[in-house]
Amino acid sequence: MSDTATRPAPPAPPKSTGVAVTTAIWWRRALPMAALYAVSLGIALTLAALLVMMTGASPWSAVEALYEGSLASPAAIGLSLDKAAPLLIVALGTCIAARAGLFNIGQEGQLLIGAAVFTTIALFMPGPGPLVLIVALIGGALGGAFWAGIAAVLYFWRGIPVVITTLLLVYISAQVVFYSVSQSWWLQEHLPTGGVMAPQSDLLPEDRWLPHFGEYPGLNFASTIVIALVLTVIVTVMLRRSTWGFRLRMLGMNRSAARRAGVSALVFGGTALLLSGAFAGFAGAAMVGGGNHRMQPGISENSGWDGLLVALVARENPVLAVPVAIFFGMLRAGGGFLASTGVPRYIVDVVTAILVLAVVFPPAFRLYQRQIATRRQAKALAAATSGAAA
Amino acid sequence: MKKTTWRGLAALVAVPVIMLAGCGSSSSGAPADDGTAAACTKGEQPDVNCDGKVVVGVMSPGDTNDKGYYQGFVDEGRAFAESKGWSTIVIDKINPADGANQAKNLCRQHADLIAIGASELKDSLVATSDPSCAGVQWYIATTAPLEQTDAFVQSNDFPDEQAVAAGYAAGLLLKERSGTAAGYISGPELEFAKVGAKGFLAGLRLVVPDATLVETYTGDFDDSAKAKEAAQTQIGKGVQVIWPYLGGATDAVVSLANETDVLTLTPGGNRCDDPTVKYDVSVIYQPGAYFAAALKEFEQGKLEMGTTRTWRIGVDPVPTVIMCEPHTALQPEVDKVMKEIGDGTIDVDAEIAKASN
Repeated sequence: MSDTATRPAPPAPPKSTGVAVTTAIWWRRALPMAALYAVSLGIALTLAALLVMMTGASPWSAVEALYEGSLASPAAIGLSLDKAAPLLIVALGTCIAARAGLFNIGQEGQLLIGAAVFTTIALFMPGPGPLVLIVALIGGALGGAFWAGIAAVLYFWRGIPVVITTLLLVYISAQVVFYSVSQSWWLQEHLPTGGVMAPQSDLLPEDRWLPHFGEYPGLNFASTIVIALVLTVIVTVMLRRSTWGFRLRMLGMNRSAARRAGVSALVFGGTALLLSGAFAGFAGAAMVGGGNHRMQPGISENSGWDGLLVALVARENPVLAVPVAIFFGMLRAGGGFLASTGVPRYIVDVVTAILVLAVVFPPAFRLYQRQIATRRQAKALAAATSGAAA
Repeated sequence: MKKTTWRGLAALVAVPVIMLAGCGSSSSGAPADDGTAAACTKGEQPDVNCDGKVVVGVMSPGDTNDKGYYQGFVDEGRAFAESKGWSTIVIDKINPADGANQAKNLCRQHADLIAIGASELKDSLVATSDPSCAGVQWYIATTAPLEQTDAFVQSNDFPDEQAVAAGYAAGLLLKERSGTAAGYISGPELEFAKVGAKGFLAGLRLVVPDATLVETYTGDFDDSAKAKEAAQTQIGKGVQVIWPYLGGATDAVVSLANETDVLTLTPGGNRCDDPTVKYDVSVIYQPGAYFAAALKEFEQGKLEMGTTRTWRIGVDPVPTVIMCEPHTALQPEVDKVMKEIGDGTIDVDAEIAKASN
């Protein structure tokens, strides 16, 4: 007779206790993180207040301005959404590459190339506006993919780290884009009045603009945010529920195991990197089509870099990237308004950077803590093993 | 977590909140109610929105501490506004792509007049039709005439004429030294920078027919290290005069030139009496002077929207070229040439075409 047969079965724990335990565990994990965020933001706000006070302005007015510029009115909310949209799109692409274990940090360059390709198609392609717009958006995405593809080729062909190539390609892209808007045969604007021309393209015809919802002073925003949210759903489903997403995760977690399971690093990793570039390129295209309606060298406003930060803060989780991108968008919109209150621009830049750092710090700190804990455990295990062997 | 840790965290959060609340003032942007508004007629300059105060918003694409073009625009305008008790809000380093938003933000700060410092920000003018900017007066300084509408007033000048006059002044200095090589350093290879170089060479050749110009574009108006490196190279090639057509990097070039006895020209302001670095020629095309003139009209209620004011060398007090000490004896010759440029005796386009071939 087996042991289990003679013993009475242990009483099953009541369901409510299980839920309570789970909730307690969740709280035990969430509380320190929340506290860390509170401390981090508290310190950032103190520093920001001190900086603003140094310029002679009132810190409270600065907080008010940040709020007024980002949330206080429907128009301000619309602006925050407009600023958040490209960041979210870039972040989605970053999530895809990161799942495959590839760290693409060249989104800024891919975004610029996407914007330039979009503008080129939108200005030169004949045809009905909506059709040209769609082709130009696809072109923008392909432009970004091509730029990331250079890094992919160098990585899979010669083993050159993606981090290095994507970063260096940012600088090349800036020169390419500057060249494009300085050449009259390419994108430089044509002035009917003659005179000195600025390094920017002509304004796109209105039928090649992305649709805009609402009117000032009500809630109004470009359709880019809607596209970004749709893309978020698609990316989330694909990463979590599809075989492709599973293989991508497998590749990111353990390259050797993935290879043994028949997951090709070249096919899946390469695709992930191309998609990452395509998302950044698409974000650039949407920035021209949805906001500026002309190509300018500074069009990105660091959206590529900030999109990367959004993905990092969201821990490469596409769903989490939505609120993070909106937060970053609010900071951008509020920062612009803060500058108009008389606070010097450089202080505004520092204040927004401090707030961004405050948001980035807690997850980075937790990651650091985990690494330390893992190392300690490994050391303890090694000590125990050697002790047992002795 | 231990109790002490929680207390520490709570204190860290509470301190900034209390600090922020303590410094509080909720009056940002609210119209003043000091009785002056009652006597005001809406739309009348300078208190266009009748809120009892005059607010001038200034937008600049560049650094307004560059001791050059962008700072010149802001300084003169601000000095005039402050002398009248007006407040100024300056937003600098504006990305042209974000110009319209910044203009709308200034409208929300109840600006009566918004001045745009350079044609790079011309897209900001779309805000003129924005409901939040209703009634606001607009001024833009440009180097290329914009299509005029009733919504704004513009001032412009002719950079090629100024460059030829600057080149002539530099040519006189070269002739004094029996030299033939001059240098030109600018930032990105932009159209207006290239126009400046062409005009400068044409002016040089009016005095020294076999003059040569070494052109360097560093890619950045404010990168002192790159500009200094460019100047070093040019000095190594034997240039006797350098025109740093730069922003924040100007003084780095000039201090190196001072050390090596190379002569220099200013990129836009009068710095003959500058105590920090020594200039030999002041090439003055300060948009700040045009702006100050516009503000004077604004004060008198005479700044008429929908008009263009063109400033010409040899015709108006500015733009102009001033020879600094110890070269002041050459001023009459420079004045004569500026006059000839202004009245068309010297055909600037033809001279530039001749020099470029």
